[in-house]
Amino acid sequence: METLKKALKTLKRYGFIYLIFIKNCLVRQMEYRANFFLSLLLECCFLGTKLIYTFLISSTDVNLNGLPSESIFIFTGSFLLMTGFYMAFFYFNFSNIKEYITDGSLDLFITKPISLQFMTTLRYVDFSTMIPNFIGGIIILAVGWQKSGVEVSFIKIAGYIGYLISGVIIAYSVMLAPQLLSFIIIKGYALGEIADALWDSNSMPMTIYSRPIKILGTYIFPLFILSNFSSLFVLDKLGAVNIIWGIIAPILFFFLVRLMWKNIIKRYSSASS
Amino acid sequence: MKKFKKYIKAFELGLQSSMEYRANFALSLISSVFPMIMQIFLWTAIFFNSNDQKILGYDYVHMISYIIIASIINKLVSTGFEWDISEDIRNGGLNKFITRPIGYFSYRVFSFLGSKIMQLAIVSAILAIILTIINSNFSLGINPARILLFLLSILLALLLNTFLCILFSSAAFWMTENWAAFIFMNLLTQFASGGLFPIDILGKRFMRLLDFLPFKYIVYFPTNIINGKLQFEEIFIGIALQCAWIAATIALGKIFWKIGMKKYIAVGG
Repeated sequence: METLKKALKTLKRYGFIYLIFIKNCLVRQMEYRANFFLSLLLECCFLGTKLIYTFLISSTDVNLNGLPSESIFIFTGSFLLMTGFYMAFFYFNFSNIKEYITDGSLDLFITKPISLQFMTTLRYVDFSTMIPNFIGGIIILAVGWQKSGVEVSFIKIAGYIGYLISGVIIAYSVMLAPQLLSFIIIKGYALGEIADALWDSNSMPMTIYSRPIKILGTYIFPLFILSNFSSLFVLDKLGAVNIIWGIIAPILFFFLVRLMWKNIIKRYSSASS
Repeated sequence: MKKFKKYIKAFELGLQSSMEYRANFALSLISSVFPMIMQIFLWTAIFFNSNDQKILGYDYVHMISYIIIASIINKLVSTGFEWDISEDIRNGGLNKFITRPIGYFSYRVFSFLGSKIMQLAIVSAILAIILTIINSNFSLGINPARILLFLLSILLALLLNTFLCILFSSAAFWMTENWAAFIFMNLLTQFASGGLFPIDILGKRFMRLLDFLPFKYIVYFPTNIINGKLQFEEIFIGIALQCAWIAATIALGKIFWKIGMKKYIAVGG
């Protein structure tokens, strides 16, 4: 009982700090409004190219290894929603890690009375990239939902949201892991390029891939849980094993990345001082 | 020759700098494979499940070979030094070039080509192996004449992209927050050059619009030379247009650079 109370207190404390992070980021972004709107406009352009490709694929009117062509809208909608989450809450934090190491900011973070992983990986929230992806994602998802004739029921919506949350935790765990290589490879931009390329490989239904890639992307480096599981669930194509795996995997991989982080920090020696 | 020596040194410096980050280069090469794999699986699934031989004007062999060749060419002609130029303009790095007997424009081009040479050699070798495999399995009709014209078009595409990069970089003279312009131009170049997918599947109207822009000569045109989609007459016209666009971007770049230099106030020097 005492432990639970303590855990709740810590959770409340971190929740409060996170709200301050969000507030600070919002104030900062509103201060540089021109930057904010430029970033928003750019994200709309990225969104535009993704949508052009989606419409192109659906125009072929061909089913994608068992999925009707119109279901591509559900996958794109889910991918955009997940991209919104990832860009807003994780992307800039993860890509800043190498900067923190090279400019010595990480040394300063270590001295703060707060979890180093929390401080380093969740400090920034970006609203400009989140807004277009969220709005675009919800619209495209609604179109795909309606076009695919999926029933609007409590189970479908709750299951969809559940797997979306599972995807967010997986996004944090799986996308943070490659960025931790920054501790070993100090210079370079290629880690970011790899992370971006891996992220985009989830933009299409996983049914298009061969069996070994599906196994790799579902159970070993579970990228497909990000936005494929939620889409497959509403289309009744997820399967019993994956329904359970979609619940276990986020917990498992979150602990794995936590272990990885702890291990890497133990070996970290300051580069700047 | 003595005048040229300093640019050879800039070329060597670029080469040395690229050799320093070998792991970075290898990882960057790996990263370009993922989107290609996704596209191959996607179009294989579409063709496999379709009753038609041709989809959006492409048969399976031409679509897959386009995706593979275009991905490699995209890597081959990529630039990215606009950020360095922008930094020099904003933080006063350009100051030293004003007082030194070296042209900034030429220095950047030679330094970039030096940093690119190793990448060019490795990626070209990969491309040659892939083309041999594709040609022996699907017979794209690759012959020596087509290979020569393809190599020439790649070289011109690299130059065109380099001068476009310099042209866009001059935006830093007028815009403090030019990052958005760079990302937008990169996205536009990626999309309109045919680096993501064959742009002609978007329809004739879109292609007509692209006829007035230089982008399709960066990836789409060289890819379709080796892909066997273009006739020799079309190839010669395309190469002439590539040269014309290079001349136009050099001229425009010089004009913008000249106007920009008048505005330059050497901050940070």
